[in-house]
Amino acid sequence: MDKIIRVNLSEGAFTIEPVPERYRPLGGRALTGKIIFDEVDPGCEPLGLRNKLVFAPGLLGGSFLSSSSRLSVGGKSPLTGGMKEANAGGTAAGALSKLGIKALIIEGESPLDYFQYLYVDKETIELRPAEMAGQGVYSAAKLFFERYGDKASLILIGPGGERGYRAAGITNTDVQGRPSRFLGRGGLGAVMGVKGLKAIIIDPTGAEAITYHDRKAFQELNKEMVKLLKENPATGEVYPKYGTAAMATRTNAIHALPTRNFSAGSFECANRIDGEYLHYIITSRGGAGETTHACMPGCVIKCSNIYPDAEGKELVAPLEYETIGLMGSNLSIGNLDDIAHLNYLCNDLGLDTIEMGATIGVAMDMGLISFGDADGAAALLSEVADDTILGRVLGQGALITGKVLGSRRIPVAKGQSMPAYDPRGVKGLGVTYATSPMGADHTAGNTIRAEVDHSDPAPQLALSRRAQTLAMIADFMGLCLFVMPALGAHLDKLGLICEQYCGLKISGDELLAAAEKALQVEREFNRRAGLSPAQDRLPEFMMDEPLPVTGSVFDVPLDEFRKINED
Amino acid sequence: MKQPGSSMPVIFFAHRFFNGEQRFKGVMFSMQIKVRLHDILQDKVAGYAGSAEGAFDYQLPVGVPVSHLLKVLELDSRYVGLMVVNGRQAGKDYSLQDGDRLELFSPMSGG
Repeated sequence: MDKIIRVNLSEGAFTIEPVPERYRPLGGRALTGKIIFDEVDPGCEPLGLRNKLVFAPGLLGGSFLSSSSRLSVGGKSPLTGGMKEANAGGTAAGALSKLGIKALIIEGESPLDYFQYLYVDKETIELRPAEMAGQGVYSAAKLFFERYGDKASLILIGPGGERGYRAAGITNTDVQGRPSRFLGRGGLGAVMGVKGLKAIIIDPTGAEAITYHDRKAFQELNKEMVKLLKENPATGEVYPKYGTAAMATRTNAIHALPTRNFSAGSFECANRIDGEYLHYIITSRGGAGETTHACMPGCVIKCSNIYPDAEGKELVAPLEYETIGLMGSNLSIGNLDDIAHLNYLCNDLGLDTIEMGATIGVAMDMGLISFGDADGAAALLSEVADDTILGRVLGQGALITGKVLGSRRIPVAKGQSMPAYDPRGVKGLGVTYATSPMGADHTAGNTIRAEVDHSDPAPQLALSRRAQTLAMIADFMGLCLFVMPALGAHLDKLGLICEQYCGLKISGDELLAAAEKALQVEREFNRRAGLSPAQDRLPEFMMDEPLPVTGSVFDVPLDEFRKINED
Repeated sequence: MKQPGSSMPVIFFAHRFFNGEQRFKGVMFSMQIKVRLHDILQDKVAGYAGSAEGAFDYQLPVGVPVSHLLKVLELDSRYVGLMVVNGRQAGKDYSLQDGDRLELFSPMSGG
């Protein structure tokens, strides 16, 4: 990847730049972070003119290594007020890589009174009028594929992003063209929306074949990696068959499954919404339903799925653990059809299901509708779709909704909603939520895999720190996080894979150092943006209100948090 | 895998010699626990009759660690990433007691 494309929406112009030497060893989240750090005023308004969006594949983007085609998008988050990277699988990273695009920078703000989309192929970079603005992502995607054919990869926002709702994410299309692989967290869909950009269409047809530094050696390493992935119980068996939904039985068992706005850690209907039940529904209904589905071309883990309705017609794809948590147990909804329907509604509006699940949970907790009222939840999403005053509040996410409703039980860290692990049940994740520059983000350092007592505060600081570093490595390589347990013990091998692909010589220790450096860049940006250690905390109700049955509170000492940034 | 005579508090151990003679060897206090296997583990233990809802009863000497049970079940330790006893997380060295309800899960890194 040898070029950076810069699109200035204020001028309606673009430039193609060579990659500066200092950016060569960076990719994915490390690259988006560094560009934002270098170019964006940390004090700027996230929904203002001076914020930028940077899309970047990882260092391994475009290679045929399994599970290495994740896309990062970076910017200043309108939810956290700090550095944000959101990340997804899908096809866009591969398409950008094939065109040799190391980063795509979107800056400025369109002065036009209509939305545009950016079209990119081998010969063309052009802004075009987006007459499909206002449409949900599913119908907009259909239109784009009719116009450009199915070799195109789409990056889209929904009406939520167009209106600047802070719960809005950015989505990109999977191998079959579904616009449902979300770079969901942190409200970057709103940033794209206020800039007046509806979509980015990338067609890599006819692009020169990607060259490898040593293709044969790379092939051998890929074979080894595939073997490791297939032999590992999680990547070889649990994820392919049951998907991320299998996590629900685990978190439910250790009282970490968010239930009724994080008021309990286990849900009486958990066995109706977990991985085993999901597998049963998908396989017994058949039709368009599928388990073992790949979101990225060539991935051998295939943790995704296609959820069918009772008639076997596709309802939503994928149906993930996070949605089962935040829009299921967290709302006291114990029915996968209801959850799948809510998932579809959020997707179409271009909204993050974690953020919206937490938002609706707060609304239920404050009595707007009852816990368990799936129709009521769908009605709230209709309000969002219709841009009513209530919809506008809800679309701004859980913190703003909670403030308007007067809640003192808002499950956020740095303004972003917590994912489906109650920090009182998985205390290491609590540390990550509080200390990560990303805010409450499980993908920034998940400790669930460690064989420790998750309710014991003692080992959690070190665990979170290690997990945050490893997550950053995955994020700048473009790797799916799920490969890390198989590969994390073989960082030297990962460095070698990188060298065989793009010629960048990097050892396992250097990978760790690069990850630490990238985290420092994020923390420094946040510091300059006005985020102080005072924001490295969790909501007080999680420190004071014990979870039922376990009586657990979040009790990792706040002082210790300073250490995570000082070492 | 319900064992006959599961209400008996003791296990008699016998040793059969090569000539076919059987001698009573000793007695150990035994206990009964309930074991539930989740998702992929259900296919890895021979004779596991439990469904997603069910569990099976197992008889073991009192106080053996979870790791001992894994050996008895012939379940490779790397397949077990999370153990929960009576609703609380436990380690492989947890000493099992009579009436314990044990759930076993394979590892997952996230989701």
